[in-house]
Amino acid sequence: MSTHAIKLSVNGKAHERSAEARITLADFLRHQLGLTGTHVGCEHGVCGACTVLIDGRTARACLMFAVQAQGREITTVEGLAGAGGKLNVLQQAFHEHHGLQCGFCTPGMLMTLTELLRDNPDPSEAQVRDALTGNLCRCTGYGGIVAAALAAARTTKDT
Amino acid sequence: MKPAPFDYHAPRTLAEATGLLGSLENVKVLAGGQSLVPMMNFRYVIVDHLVDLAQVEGLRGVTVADGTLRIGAMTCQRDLEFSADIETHCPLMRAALGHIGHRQTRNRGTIGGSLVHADPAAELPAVCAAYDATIEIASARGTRDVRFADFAAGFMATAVEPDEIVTAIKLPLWPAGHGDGFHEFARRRGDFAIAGAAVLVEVTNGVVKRAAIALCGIATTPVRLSEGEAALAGKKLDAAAIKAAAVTARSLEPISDIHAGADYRRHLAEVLTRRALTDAASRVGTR
Amino acid sequence: MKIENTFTVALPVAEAWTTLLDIPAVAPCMPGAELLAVEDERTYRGQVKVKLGPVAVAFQGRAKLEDVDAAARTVRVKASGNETKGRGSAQADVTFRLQADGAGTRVDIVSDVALAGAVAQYGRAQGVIADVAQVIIDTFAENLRRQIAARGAPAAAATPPPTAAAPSLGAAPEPMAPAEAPALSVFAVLLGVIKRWFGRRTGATR
Repeated sequence: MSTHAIKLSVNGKAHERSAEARITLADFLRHQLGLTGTHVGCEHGVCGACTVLIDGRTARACLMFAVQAQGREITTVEGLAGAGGKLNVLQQAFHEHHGLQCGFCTPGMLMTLTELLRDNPDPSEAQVRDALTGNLCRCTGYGGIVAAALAAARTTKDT
Repeated sequence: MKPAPFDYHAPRTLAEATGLLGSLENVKVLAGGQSLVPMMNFRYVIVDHLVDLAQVEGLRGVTVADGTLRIGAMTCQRDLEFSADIETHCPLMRAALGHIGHRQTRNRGTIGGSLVHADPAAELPAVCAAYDATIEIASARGTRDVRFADFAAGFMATAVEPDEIVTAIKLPLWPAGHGDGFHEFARRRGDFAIAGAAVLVEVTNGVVKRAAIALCGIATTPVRLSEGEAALAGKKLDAAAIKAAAVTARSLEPISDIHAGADYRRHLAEVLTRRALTDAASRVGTR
Repeated sequence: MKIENTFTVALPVAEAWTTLLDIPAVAPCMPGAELLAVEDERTYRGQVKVKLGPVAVAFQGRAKLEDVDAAARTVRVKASGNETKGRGSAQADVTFRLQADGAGTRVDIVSDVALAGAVAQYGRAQGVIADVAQVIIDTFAENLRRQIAARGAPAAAATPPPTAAAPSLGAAPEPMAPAEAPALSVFAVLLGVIKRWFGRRTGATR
């Protein structure tokens, strides 16, 4: 029904597109902006595969309409790696500690852990597990993910 | 699934928002969207218009004055979780907030949205029931205050009329030194509560002057365990009194669904009440 | 879900029977119902709207009068409808039995309601759907009672006395003020649900 001109910033880059009101932020990122790193798992806010940062806070992109993100700064998994695709500390830790198998939940895991480690740079294992309750993984059993998070925290602390 | 088409409106003032609700057909208010949007994605909720309150000024924030804590309806749960005022004046709410969904949903979910959505398992309605909170509701016709007991109307229903918006929640503060306790049982962290107990106690001269026990997940709206509250009045808040109060939960007739039967919920009500009261007893006089 | 209702009216059983079979007049007694068309003398097409919290559903379908036994004064109505937005379907099998009760009539209604599809899964507390169905049918029964009772109102009313003609299905209703079926307000429906919950709630012994 109503269509809106949506201006927002994703990973530091400004975008402007037109979209129907009912298009979710997840679908807008994937289809209108071609940023398919954000995954759509359940479409009702339980799996966390669609997790992005909105003005620095994690949110489920499937529970937001793109039009609500007007004027906001969105960070997706595509914004984590450095120049030339160099994996950041957290991503490198996932690689080293088998934090992913099929990779479907991984973008959501990374965004959630990015927020955690920014706000709590030295979390306990219990705090990491608590932070991950909103992200589901069917492959890993979470062990590698938790190990990666703790390793990333250690690496950042040591540098 | 994808939601059905609708027109999106983003008013900037309360008057604009209430004006829209009064003039549009098949319209719903969008607050944090963490409960509404899943239902729209499933097409359980099909609306022609959505009025987003995100840009309406004056609906966020926490203020304390004259013994009342006033919370703007659009204040998100995350901000309440980290509010110094909530931590100081309303520790029960702080405890409850940690059980609501997940960090990602608390970053956007609002207190007003949770109360109007009125899910039987929701924690914030139980906290409001324990506090006998007052809900401030606005429309083009003016503003009115509704006691929480009259606000909660049934399964996902409240006293809010189709053209009204909840603007604030007012909690009469309990005196410094009161005890609080919150316990919930869910299959996994962040799942909908199967049952939960929110408890407040005021102890003077070694005996209970006043107690409030509110349960979520037991009926379609939060339930005050008034028999248990009465059992505590004038008693020393020890294990025996706590047990006697918790045992009154055995006369409850809880709802039954695929997650838990009535018997199990009744058992949970008793256990969680006992645990919450025990916590509350240990906190008396510490704040 | 099986729902049973009983009420009595101070109206002779023959007249109560005539009133009951006057479907266009009886249809408004069902909260949220709208009669769309009369297909033949036993088949009616209609719509029933129900709102449960933020979810508003509408069922559109047919109600057919079966097993009309004028001698025993029983009638079975079988209704089925689809949710207009594809969210499921509903089936209702309702049997009415009228019996003389002194100078009046006793009406027994037994309803068997079944839901399928998304509407059936709505709400984690399954008992709520049954409760809402109960309240809808309770309200229907109450409205029907008033409708039938109004037929027996004294001559002081502006309506002409009922004709002595044999009851015929689909006959044009007599000119009388139709019973006002209260619109199905969510609040009203759920007030009924709450009242029932209240009876089993805290503090009250079982």
